[in-house]
Parts: sequence; C-alpha cells; structure tokens
Amino acid sequence: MTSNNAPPLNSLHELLLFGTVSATRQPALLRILAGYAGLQPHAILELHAYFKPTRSPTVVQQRGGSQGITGLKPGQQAQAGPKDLYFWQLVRNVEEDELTDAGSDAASSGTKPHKWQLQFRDTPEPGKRSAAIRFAVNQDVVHGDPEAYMQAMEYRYQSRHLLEGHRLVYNNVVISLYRAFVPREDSATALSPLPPRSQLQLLDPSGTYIVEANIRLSDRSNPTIINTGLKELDRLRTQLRDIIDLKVPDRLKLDTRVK
Amino acid sequence: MDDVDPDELRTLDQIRQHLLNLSLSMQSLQKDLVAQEDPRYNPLPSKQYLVSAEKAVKGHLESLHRLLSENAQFLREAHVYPTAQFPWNQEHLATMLLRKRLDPGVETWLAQGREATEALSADSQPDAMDYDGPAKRQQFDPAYWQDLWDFAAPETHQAIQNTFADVEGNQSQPSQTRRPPPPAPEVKELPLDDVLRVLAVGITPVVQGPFAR
Repeated sequence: MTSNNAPPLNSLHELLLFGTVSATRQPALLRILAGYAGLQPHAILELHAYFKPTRSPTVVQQRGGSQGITGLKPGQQAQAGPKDLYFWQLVRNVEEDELTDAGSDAASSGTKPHKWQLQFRDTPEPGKRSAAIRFAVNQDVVHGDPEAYMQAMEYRYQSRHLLEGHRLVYNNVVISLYRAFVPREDSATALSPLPPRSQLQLLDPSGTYIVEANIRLSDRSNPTIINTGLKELDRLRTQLRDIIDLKVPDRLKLDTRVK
Repeated sequence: MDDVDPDELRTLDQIRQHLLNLSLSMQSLQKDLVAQEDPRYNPLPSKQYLVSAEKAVKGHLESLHRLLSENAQFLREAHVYPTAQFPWNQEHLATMLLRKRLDPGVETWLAQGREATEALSADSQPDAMDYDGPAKRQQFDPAYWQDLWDFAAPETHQAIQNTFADVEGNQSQPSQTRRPPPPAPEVKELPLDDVLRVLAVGITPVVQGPFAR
C-alpha cells in the first residue's frame, strides 16, 4: 500500500505475522488460501546465503574536550552508541534441475549468470502491536560478482540454505508457506553449485511449514497506512482463526544484528 | 526475479495486435456511422456494409477473448514493473502503467458494462478473466460454490457429504461423520522461534577454537 509520493519500493517496512502448519495439513491449507485469494499459488525455490561482517562493532570515540554541550560544530558526529552491524543475505531463485544429481555437476555456473538480490532485514521495532514491523531492503544485483562485492564491504560468507514453498497474494498481504533445507556439508562460498536433493536435509525434521503473512508499507511515517495494514492483518488472522494460528513473532528471534 | 519468457512476450504482443485490430475496425465503423456535415450525403451506410463491419468487430472480439482466456493464468499472475532500461524521461508513462486501480471514470464504465452483460446473458458463468475475484461478487450461483468447495477443501467436503448422507435416513452411527484422526506426527516439530532465528541469521558454523569469531 502506498501514499502518493512513494519512495522506490525496494526499501520499505514490513508488517509480519508468523504461524506454522504441519506437513500433513499443508496441502489443504495451501488450497484454502488459494481459494480465498482467488489465484494459484506461485511456487518458490530460493537460495539464501548469509553474510556476516568481519569487522567487530566499533564504538564512536569522542574526540577533544567534553565541554561541547552547547552544540556540535558542523561536521562532527553526534556521540552515537556502538554502531550495530547486521547480517545480510544474498538471495536468488533456484531452478529445480539445479538440484538433480546431473545438475550439480553440470555447469550451473557456466550457462547463464544467476540473478542475485541483496536483502537486508532490520530487527523488528520494539513495542506492543498486533504485528511486528521491520525495515527491509531488497536490491537486485545487476552487474558483477556479488560475493566479491560483499567481501569488499568486509562481509564474509557464513552459511546458506534453501527455502522451498509457495507464495500468494491476498489483497495487500503476501502469504508465504515454506520450509528450509540445509546442505549436509556446506561449501566455502555462496556461489558454488548446489548439492542435489539427496544431500539436503530439512532444517526442521518434522517437515513443518512456516506461514508468513507480510504486508509491505512504503511510508513508515504515515500512521493511516500503518493502521490500515494492521487492520488487514487482523482481519486475515480472524478469517484463518480456526485453520491456523498467526502470531506476532518474538522480535529478538528475528534480530539480525551481530553480537 | 525471472527473465522475460519469449512465450510470454509473444503472448503480450499478440494481445497488443488483436487489440489494435479491434480498435481500428471499431474506429472505422464509428467514423462511417457518424453523420456527415454535408446534408446530401447519406449518413447511414448500407445494410451490407453494417453487417460486414459488425462481423469484423465480432471476429476481433472473439479472437481476443480466446487469446485472453488461453493465457488467463499467465495474465492473472503477471505484473508490470519497470527495468533500468525504461526511458525515464517518460516517467508519467511509468506511473500510469503501474497504477493498480483504473481511473474512477473508467471503473464506473467497466462496472456499467458488466451489469449490461449480466443483464443480457441469462446464464452468467464465472468469467475466467474476472480479476475482481470471488470475494467481490454479490451473487453466487450454487454451481460456483460447489466448484469452490471441491477446490478448497475436499476432506471437509467429504465430511459434510457423510453428514448429510446420514441425515437422509440411513441409520448409521454418528461416528461415521467424524473423519479418522490424522496420523500422529512422528517427529516433534522445532519451535517456531528457533526456525525464525535461523531464517534471520543463518546457521552459525561450529566454532573453530576459543578465539574464533
């Protein structure tokens, strides 16, 4: 949902609710959601590579005397707390045949270059609300080697996993049902070919799916928009009340800061 | 994040062609129907001309309709977005194309058109091109609800059928209306919080030594 002078929508705030559904009930839930939304769900298969900053969080040093209470000279930075550093993700879509045994040694690096997207997710804001709100940035990598870029920014590849599931849109809400797969042995880089399905294991062995309900706001400062979004999520939650439980996530669990 | 599919591009181009043809034929018909200034000129074209023009317009409409319904799923899921190659000095074009809602005048006109067609056609089937979706419909016919049930929740449907089968006189036990309980999950599921943590920061590799970060 946007206001009239909306900034580009690759940086925005998200309103979030999460729930879970067991593997046995997931197909029925997907059909029910597709019925509500009036459209077929879109299959998603995404590779998420996580990058961790190599610097440790620095503290801004105060320079000079401490009598300058009256004001800061232009150019001086206000005394900030220790600057936080965050995890970043490189995400791309994965074709199913990259996960076959032949696909993993076929030139998945040779054929066509992959389209990566750099994703930043801030820690959700504190405060009691009916949904979590967090700032998010999605930036398509148009040109160049994304991993080299991250290294130049002093970020190091840490791990990666695959998300598989479906996504559909119901009015303003993007509903995603997915679960995560982890490679049995991970590679040293984000760009190396993916292991075949036999080498992937479920993060959650019970096969439970995550349900994510996500409304994107373009204008954080407009309370009308925020309230409309919260109301819509509430309406969705009551509509699905007997089918699935959508809850506000614990903000510290979604905290992407490096400790 | 996908590349433009050549098939999809061709579909869009075909739609554009058909719309263009339709628009041209309708325009020429309209031009010929408009009364000429010159009183000596016979304003109404011959019946034969009218019949053939009507056939042309109808043919274009039909082919367009066929094209749209064949590609209904793609069109429903497709959405417009500008790439970097868009000529950004024409920004007004981009904002016009990206509008989610049509102009209010256009919307009322569309609504009027829909009412008119529903009034005309006695058996109104749910249109494959109905973007409004079932949520916005005012009237449903029972066949449509039946389809929705079959699509959305076959297990529930089955339970209801069982229930009504009992009501119809068979002296079966009430336990038949209950579905068999789902098989107990064998593996305990991970708490949602833990999974969300992994989705936020990935999996920390095993620490190499006491000083590794």
